[in-house]
Amino acid sequence: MGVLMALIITLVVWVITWAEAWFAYPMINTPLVLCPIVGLLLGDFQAGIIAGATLQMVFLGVMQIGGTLPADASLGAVIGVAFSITLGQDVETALTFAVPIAALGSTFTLLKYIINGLVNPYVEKLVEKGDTKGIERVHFLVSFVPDLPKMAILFVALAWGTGFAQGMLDAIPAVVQSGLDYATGLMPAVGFALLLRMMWSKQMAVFFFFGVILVCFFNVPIVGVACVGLILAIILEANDKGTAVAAVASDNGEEDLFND
Amino acid sequence: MINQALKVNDAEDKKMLKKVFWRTMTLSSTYNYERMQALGYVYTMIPVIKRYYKDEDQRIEAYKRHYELFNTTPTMGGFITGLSTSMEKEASKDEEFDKTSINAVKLSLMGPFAGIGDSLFQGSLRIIALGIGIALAAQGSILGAVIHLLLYNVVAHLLRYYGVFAGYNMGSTFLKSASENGLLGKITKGAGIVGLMTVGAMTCSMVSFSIPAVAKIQGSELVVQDMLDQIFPNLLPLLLTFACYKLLKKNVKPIWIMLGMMVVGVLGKVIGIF
Repeated sequence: MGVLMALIITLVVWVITWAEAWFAYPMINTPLVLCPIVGLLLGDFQAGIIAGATLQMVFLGVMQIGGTLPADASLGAVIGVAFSITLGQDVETALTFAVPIAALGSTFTLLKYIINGLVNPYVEKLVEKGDTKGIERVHFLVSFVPDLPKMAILFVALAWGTGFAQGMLDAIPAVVQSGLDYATGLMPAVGFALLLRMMWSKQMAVFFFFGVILVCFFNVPIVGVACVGLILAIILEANDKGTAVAAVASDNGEEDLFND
Repeated sequence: MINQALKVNDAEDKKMLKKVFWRTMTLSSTYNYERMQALGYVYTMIPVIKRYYKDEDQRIEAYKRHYELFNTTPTMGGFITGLSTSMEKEASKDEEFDKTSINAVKLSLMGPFAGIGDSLFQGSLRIIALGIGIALAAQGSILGAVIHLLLYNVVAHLLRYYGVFAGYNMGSTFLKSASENGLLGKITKGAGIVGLMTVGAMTCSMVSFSIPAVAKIQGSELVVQDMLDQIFPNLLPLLLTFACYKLLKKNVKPIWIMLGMMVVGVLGKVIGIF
């Protein structure tokens, strides 16, 4: 990949990263959206779309709740799909690079939060002076400048990392490739487990299994399951006036799945 | 009733609330560990404070008030910034108004609204939109990404935009009672039902874990997967998901589980069971 193309991709990713936070998380900074864009820029739109589907599935559970630091799915996806397209390889290659890079990438999120905090004493002074122009300027600058280290790494990886990636791929035997391909099917389980950790409680578990049964025995598509869920939620929650307080109380009772 | 809750007659107020809407979206842009979304919050309140307070000292006092720790889901943040707007309006007119209540209300609502945001958006809407998007994209269609974005954002945007107006009109009494009498809890729980059902469904349709190996017992061939399917279809994906859940509970980082799966996949191929 040429240096110019690496620069263009980096800038596009930077803008998307910025817009994701600036517009209240419209979900544009996801592998499903990023991979086709990178694919389009590199001249293989189709490969980008397919890689987007696979990588999104693998990183399904990656999300930010509160101040947690999830794996950086977008950084992994961009580098992974760029390598696989420039090297003329398939989706497994994208995945091989995406997962470890995503793991390293969360460090940059941590770094960004720390850099963000450095301006606090300065903002305090601006607030005390009532300098609203200054506050607005700092808020805007801090929304994207602290991503510079991450974007620099992305640029370097894209511009000069392809040879290294090729070398790695040559060293990987075929059986490893097919094993990684197999692992693609397993990985969404991590995402679902992450979601369960957030939502699971003894009272609610029955709904999980209801969804399981609808698919396993009746082949209901996802939209159908969601609609059944919505109707159930309305029947159980909106029509039920007496137990409102109990409903809140039970939300706090998250319990362990296996009671260990 | 809904129309009433969202209607703002004063043209100037409406213009200001639109600014609050645009600025509320940026809450998390400058997140940090010390004050979290404080910079975003004071940034959001600038047009409000400028409009309602004429005296510079009062303004500075108000800026300081909003440059304090705050954290919620930006998608739901409008309810709270809208409410702060209406409270600042009251405070600017009424000398007796207890200004410390503005922050007290903010702090009491940020938790429940973040809770709704997580279960409604992260737990259900996001998963449904991604599920549909992935299915289409896997067939090579760009519609997957497009429909995912539309589905998620049409719903999310209604709350981002109208939340500000609802928060402004309903006032602190309504939102506080909604949080205390369980209305917010009901919404959170309802979203949880939809979310859990979808996650259950997608665990079966998206996790692919099967054992194609054939066991030879006394000359007769036994296909392991056929046997498992007869016990319960998708038994292995479900067990795998519960195993991951268990590991996560033990504070194993998700990325380590994923790397572990890569190792397992390779080992399985080497041994020949996958």
